[in-house]
Amino acid sequence: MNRRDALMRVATLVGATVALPALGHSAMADTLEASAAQRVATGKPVLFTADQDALVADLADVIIPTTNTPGAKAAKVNEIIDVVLKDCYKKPDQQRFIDGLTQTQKMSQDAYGKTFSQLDNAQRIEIMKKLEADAKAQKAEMARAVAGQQDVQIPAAKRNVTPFFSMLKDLTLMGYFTSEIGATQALEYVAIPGRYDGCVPLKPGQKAWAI
Amino acid sequence: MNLNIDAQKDMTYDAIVVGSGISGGWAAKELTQKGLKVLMLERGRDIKHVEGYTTATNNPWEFPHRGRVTTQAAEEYWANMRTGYTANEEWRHHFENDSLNPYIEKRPMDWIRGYHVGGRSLMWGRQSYRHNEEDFMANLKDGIAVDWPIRYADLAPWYTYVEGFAGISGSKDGLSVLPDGNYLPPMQMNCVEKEVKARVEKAFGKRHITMGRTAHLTDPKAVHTELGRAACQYRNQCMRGCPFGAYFSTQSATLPAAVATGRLTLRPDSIVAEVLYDDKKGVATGVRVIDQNTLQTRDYFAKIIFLNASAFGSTSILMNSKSSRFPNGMGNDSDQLGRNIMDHHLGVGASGDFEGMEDQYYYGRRANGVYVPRYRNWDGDKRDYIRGFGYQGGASRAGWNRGNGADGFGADFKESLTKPGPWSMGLGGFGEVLPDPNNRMTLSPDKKDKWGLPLIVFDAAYGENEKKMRKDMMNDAVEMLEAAGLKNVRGYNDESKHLGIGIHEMGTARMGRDPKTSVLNKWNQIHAVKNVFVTDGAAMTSASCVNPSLTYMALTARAADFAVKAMKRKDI
Repeated sequence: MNRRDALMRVATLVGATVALPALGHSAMADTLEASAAQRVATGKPVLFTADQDALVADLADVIIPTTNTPGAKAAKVNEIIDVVLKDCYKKPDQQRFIDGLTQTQKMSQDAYGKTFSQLDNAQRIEIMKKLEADAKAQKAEMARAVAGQQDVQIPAAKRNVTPFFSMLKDLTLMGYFTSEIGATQALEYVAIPGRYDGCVPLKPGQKAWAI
Repeated sequence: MNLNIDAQKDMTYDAIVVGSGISGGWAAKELTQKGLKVLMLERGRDIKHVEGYTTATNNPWEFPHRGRVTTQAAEEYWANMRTGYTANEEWRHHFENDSLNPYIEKRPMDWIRGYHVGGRSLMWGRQSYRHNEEDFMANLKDGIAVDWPIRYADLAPWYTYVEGFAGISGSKDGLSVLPDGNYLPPMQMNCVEKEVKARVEKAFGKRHITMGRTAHLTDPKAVHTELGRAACQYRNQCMRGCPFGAYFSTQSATLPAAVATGRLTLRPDSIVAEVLYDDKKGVATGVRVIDQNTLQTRDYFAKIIFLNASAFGSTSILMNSKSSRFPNGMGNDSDQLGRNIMDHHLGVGASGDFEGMEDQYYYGRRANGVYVPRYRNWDGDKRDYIRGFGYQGGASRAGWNRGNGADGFGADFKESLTKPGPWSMGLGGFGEVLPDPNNRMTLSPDKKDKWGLPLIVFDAAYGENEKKMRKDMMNDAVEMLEAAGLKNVRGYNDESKHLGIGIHEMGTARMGRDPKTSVLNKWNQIHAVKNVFVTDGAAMTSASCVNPSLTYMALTARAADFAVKAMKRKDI
């Protein structure tokens, strides 16, 4: 079979899988996919409130803004963050993220008397810098607690948690670079490379492979 | 009464193969091609080639959680979670829900299963190496366990045979520690791997870096294409199932070959509870099957039976096959059944950063890496432990996820992540585990699964030899990467994992020369039940440090050839 035949075969396969329920081998799959399906069907967030959802979209867009390629908001990163947080994170982690959103709005109000979405770009960046600095400080404090520093008062259960900004950044990068926009526009995506060349000189401006 | 005779006839075959994974597929292919009418039983569901690979062509954004594990799945797939990858959304449906298939851990055991047609041949790592001459003599020389009843020369022609059909790509390196085989062209190393190879081989005369030998078609031959197989497309999404049939699996290779004979009956959803034994004739007569969905029991009959249900699967069937002749499980005269659990120990090695080659990249996703064959306790080297280890490794440029560990956000940050990142390279060790009779499995006297079969109880752990070896496995990797000029070299030795984490479980029904100390003879026959053959990982007498599947293939093809000849001679 040559490559063309092989590709034809996959084209047929793609047609075939569309008709099948994805991961359809067990009843379990239905519940595991429910959140994503629900979000698509209703257009409404599954974990966030509408306000939180909009805030996550704005925050993600500060981390990955539109440049010469679309940013996180265009890639609807808030939607995958909503679904992944709901299905893949434990309750205390979900709560820490929600608390982080509340805290961010408070920082915005305290600093500028406005909600985050009312801020201009420079102000949004200032808030994000503050969140990043807070996360760094929190990590340093946890590291000192683990190292047994006497002056640190952190309960054992809270010595190894991911700060809000780190969660937000991790989820934003994952959500963006695995999205269709992120993978195919910001990065270069080749579904079926067809061959492997071990040494290829980098071309000017060449993007990284998406996967 | 005619009805019953006819019914019994319908249930009667020349051979029954229990299990449809790597070795079961080979048994079915060989036995059907030699003219036998074969029933292949698979405990799990059917997965059809290509159309059954439900996620094979998904783009990253088409996974509901972009590959991440849901909290629900993490709970259900509790053993799989220990591997760090098998429960991922891309291929979790090819692994078993551990909560529905529990086992008991007297001491912890990482048991990773694939209950479906094709077994773990659908998700295997595909690295394919021959045992060397020393591997077959190691127990004898070290005075441990029992001697293999075969030598390299017994298996060599069968290695050649199975390599040709399976399609193994690799380079011939002329190293006695890693015998060359019957290969398709090797995959390519990338620029950094070539450079590190040159530097390591210069710095350490007796250490080599070669391209991984893997069961991928790099240049398919007629024997492959006539089964509908095509060349590797370098997608590196193998564990989802390959729509090109480019890597060897039951579905891509042995099953279509067996089906083509017109002599194969494949019956999924059929859990084998026990092998039936005729006390008067002293032979096995068939197997008792429980339908996994209806729980109905049926018996099937055959002249010979091949057990290929995976090491622990085959052994648990034998343990559950009790008769007045075998009150402690079929073939267990030696009390060795269930003992000597082996695996390869891993999670130890090093990685580092390669400076330079910033103007070099690669095209395609190579589902393979480089390989460092064993050099410890070899060719004059002598350590404070016995046996040795090899490394699998590779170099690559960092992708977008390096952003998680880096400071920053915003436009410049985003743009930097769209460029190829720095080069790094890693080496991960695969070490030989010694056979130890105290590393064993038994059947629970009271706890049963939903089909009424006793749960397996594991009581096994790594020994001192493995722990000593791991120090070298980490330090040597650091040493080689540093000698190759890598910076910021980080060694690691993760001792939180258990036997089984290599998903190379072996032993529990070892081959040997003496029925008093082994379960199987040199033809993989149960010493005392000559028409029952076990040719999966259970048969292994020692583990070597190379990936084992190719050896199961060769043992199976060899045993099938013997079995058919013996049947023709009316020996069995």
